Amino acid sequence: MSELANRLERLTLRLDHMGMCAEQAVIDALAAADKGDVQAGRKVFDLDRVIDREEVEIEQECIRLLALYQPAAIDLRMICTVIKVNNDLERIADKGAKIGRSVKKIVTCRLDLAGEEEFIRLRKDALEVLGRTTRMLSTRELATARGILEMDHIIDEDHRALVRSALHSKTESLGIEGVWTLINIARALERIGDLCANIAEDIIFLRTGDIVRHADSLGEIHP
Amino acid sequence: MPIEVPNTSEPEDKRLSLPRPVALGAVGNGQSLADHGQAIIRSRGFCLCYGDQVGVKNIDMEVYPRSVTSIIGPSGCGKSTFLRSINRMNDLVPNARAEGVLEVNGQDVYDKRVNLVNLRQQVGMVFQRPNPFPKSIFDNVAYGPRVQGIRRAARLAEIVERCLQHAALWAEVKDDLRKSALALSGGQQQRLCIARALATEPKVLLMDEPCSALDPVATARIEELIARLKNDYTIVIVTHNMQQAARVSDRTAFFCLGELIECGLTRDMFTTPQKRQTEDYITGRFG
Repeated sequence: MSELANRLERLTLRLDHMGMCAEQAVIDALAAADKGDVQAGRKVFDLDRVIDREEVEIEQECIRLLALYQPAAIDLRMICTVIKVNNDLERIADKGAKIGRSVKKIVTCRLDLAGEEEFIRLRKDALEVLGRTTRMLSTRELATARGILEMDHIIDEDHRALVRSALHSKTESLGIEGVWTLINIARALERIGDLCANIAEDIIFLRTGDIVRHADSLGEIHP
Repeated sequence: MPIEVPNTSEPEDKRLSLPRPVALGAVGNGQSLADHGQAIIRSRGFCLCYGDQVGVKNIDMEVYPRSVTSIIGPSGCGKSTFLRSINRMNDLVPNARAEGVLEVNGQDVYDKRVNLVNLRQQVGMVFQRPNPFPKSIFDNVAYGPRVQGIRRAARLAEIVERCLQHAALWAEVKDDLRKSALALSGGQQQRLCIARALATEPKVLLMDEPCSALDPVATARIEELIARLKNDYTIVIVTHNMQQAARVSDRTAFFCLGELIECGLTRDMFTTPQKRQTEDYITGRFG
């Protein structure tokens, strides 16, 4: 195996690990929100800092590989994909940290997330798509990537339903502060869905060379 | 208009009547060549053998006017054989035998009636190592026009200046045209060879690893020159340097074991090649 192939393999293993860390950050943050555990919410910040550092190191390695090996074809697509996925995973971890930061407000507002039907659905779908995304980083299956793009629409619909319901019928029971907190957490989950969809598009690019991003609005795929 | 096949009564040095390439405009890396008119070089089922040994076989390929086409592939894959077939340089190899069709501007170059001197004036060649004649800079460039019968000093001086300017060498040598070409640096000698090839007003320039003997600075100058020359000429370049092929060419052809494996837009070949063999080669996993 060439030196470039070796280094690319190590790079993709680091990316897989980063995916697992980002997923763990979101899971931990949601668990802290469920329990109203402010301390556990803060711990997600620590994990986020580790992920931030890893993101920078992965990006530096990508730049080094581009400069030293001038890769082409699958190697070039792999490095481009790693750069973009790396950034998206870091942002997913940021969303986890954001949810972790909200735990204090959840406690203050006495917000019971377990009792919010629309939130439970959104949370379940967001975690499902996040799990599939992190597994896809190692399998790189096209079918999984396309499935994730489909699921993002479901998450968007879950999010819209939650916002509608919160604004129309929950302002009295939860109070303005409670509704605001609920919508903020829901927004973070919806963004996680978007970021997973971005990663799925990057995997499609890696496998096929086609850029499917904005295919709806542009009406074409960019090979 | 096809290559004119001279009848026996015509003088040997009569110019081939290849027309100027169809004006297609500049063809940059970002543009599609698919609809850029008729190919200037076209091969169909072309084979070239050296005795029993196959050099290239069943090559179906097109080269479009005013563009750069690079040919890449491992050593011995037939890329130089194919390049040298375009102006029949392989005729000099004993037992070389061609089959199939290889056309330049619609005329089969292996038609026995084609005038070889005229063909090589229209399809110029630059070799791996700079090979200037042991003459002055002026005489190197004026050599081809003199063979064509041009004798008037003013006309020759005009051609020499134009060709040296096209080859991006004029500014460096204009005050020293009587200096020996052998006194120039390697990069300057290679640009002089390009100027010499341009002096016969070719439509096609064949370049066989033109930078392999040059340092990075001289290489960069030749690459800049190729980018400028493609506005007026059709260039086919053989190179072992994958990055060079990616930088300078609009289309790339990958040869392996005498066969054309894949030919397409360079931007696609170096990002999403269609064939596994191509991908393995350009990512260094070949073999």
